[in-house]
Amino acid sequence: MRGWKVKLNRDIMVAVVFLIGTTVYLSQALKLPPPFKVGEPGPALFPLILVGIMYAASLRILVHGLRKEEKFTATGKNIKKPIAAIGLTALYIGMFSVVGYWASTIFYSFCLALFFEYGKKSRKMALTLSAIIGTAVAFAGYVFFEVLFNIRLPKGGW
Amino acid sequence: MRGFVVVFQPTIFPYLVGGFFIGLFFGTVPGLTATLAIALLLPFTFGMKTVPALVTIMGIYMAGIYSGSITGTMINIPGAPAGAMTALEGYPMMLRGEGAKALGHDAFASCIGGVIGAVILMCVAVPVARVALLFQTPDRFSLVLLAVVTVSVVTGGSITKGIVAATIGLMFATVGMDLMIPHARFHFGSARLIEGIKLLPAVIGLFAISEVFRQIEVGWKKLDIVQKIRRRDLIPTLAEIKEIGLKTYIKSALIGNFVGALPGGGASMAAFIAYAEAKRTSKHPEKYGTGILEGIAAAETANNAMCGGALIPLLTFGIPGDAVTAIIFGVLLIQGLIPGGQLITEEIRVIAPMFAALLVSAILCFISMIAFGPYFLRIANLNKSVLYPLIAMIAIIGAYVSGFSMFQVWVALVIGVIAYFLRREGYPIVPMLMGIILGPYLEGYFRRSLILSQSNPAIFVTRPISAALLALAVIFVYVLGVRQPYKVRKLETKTAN
Repeated sequence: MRGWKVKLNRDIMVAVVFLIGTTVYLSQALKLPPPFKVGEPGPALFPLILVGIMYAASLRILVHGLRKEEKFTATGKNIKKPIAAIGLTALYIGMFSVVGYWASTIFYSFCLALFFEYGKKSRKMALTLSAIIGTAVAFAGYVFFEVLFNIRLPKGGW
Repeated sequence: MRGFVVVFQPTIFPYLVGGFFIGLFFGTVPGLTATLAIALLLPFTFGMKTVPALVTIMGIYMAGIYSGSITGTMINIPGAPAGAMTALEGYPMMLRGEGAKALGHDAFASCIGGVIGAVILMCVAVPVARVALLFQTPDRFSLVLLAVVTVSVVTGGSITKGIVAATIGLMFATVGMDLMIPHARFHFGSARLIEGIKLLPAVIGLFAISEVFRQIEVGWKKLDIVQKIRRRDLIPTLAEIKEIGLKTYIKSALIGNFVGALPGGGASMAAFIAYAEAKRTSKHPEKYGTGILEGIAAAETANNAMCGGALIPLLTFGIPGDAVTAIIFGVLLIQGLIPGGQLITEEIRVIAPMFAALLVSAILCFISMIAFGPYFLRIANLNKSVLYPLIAMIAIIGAYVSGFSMFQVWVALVIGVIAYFLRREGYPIVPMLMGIILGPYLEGYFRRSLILSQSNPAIFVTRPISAALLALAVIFVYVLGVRQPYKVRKLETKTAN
């Protein structure tokens, strides 16, 4: 084992994620009636072909990653903001029907605006500007959806 | 003619102009594209009548492709990838103080290309649709497969990445009730997944939500303004048009239209090929790259002529060739229209205004430049801290209002997150969308063909049309996915040595 040293890189990580995902998909495909059971191609045939293609492609990516000299380098600085934005979007969707359109949208737009403004201006200025943007975006959405298209947005349980 | 009468009706024309301005806005702002604009508009097409919805989309499509070159010329940052070749010539002209001239020719060439592309579409759509009706189930399977394979090979950085993206899309398409027997698939015990993954949250997730995350990662800075644009300098002179030559316009339009009709073609490829061809046959090839009107004319004529070409396979065979036409496919489905041969032959009263709208929007390209040319840079310089929260809000509420279901919003987020990470690792998302949209057709035709042949897969190679299409798919994979990358690698090694 000592002589065989693998440098973990992004290709290897991506391939492993694909292999896990495909295996989960396969586990569900195997629950379907087998293909050609009654002489006709059943609902499992096409998914099983896709599983085959995905395994082959993932293994190719894995082999490519294993051959690479490049080592995995964490790019934590760049990825932090998008991951925070993903969490924030999930929170927004969760809050949307609970607290209603106005509160959730102002909060969400304020935070997203802050991602772009923070570090460019003073903290006070960035917060003030983001608060204005948050309110303006929520108002624009209200005019666009409720007034213009007559779509009722959730009021929330509050 | 009836199409034009409908388009100019007072109840329809504002939709075209509105769509055109939306496209103009999204194309001009770097980072925003026509694809994103149509994706965001998709939920609203539910509540619109068929003709206004299609006319609006045509306006967005033409304007979005055209306006990508405006910021490319002004600040060397194309608003959309299609404007990259124009920027090669336009920006040096801008630096020389001839920016207005470059922008004027950009708009004029877009107008010429768009009009020629729309006329070709009007002429060939019906005959091609009649041919499409001759295709039988195995032929249709091979045609859909050809489209998915070609788009995967062309749009991916590597053939493997494109195929992975398309396969993930196809896997998403298998979620829900089976096409032929009442059996739920891949629902993971959730009753909501049985209804399947809807097209709308998929489109919003792939193009809008993932883009917001990407822009947050990239950040934003204000653009540098080089010079002011005067309206009177925007109108091309007859001498300049003669210098470029009618041949350049017509040849580039034909190239653009043909490339558009190929699966995976797209505006960027159309512009690139027409530009390369214009340079090859030019009397002054050495001037290319230094700011030459001929280069702008070739690239812009081609990328707008592409729009008409891309609609030919979509409307006649039901095969979208790129992201925009794939979303237009979704719009047609939302409106209860099934793209394919029958659509053109039986629903021409609905489709004719769409053709007319494409032609009128091409003319609007030039008119809009004369009217608003001096103000375009202000649009491009809009603060992203205002723009992206607005886009994110419209995307999420749009996913919600499409079915008033919070579950569909979660689906959009999950697909958006997957798309964001795939893009981050260099995987194209267009094949994924193709997989989601064409998956049910591919599987349906595949299984029906096997039922017809009593499970004998030889049916795909014994039918002449199907065999020819499969052979074409193999050739495309070899030429674009194997031979070309090999040549590039060889060239790189040679250069390194």
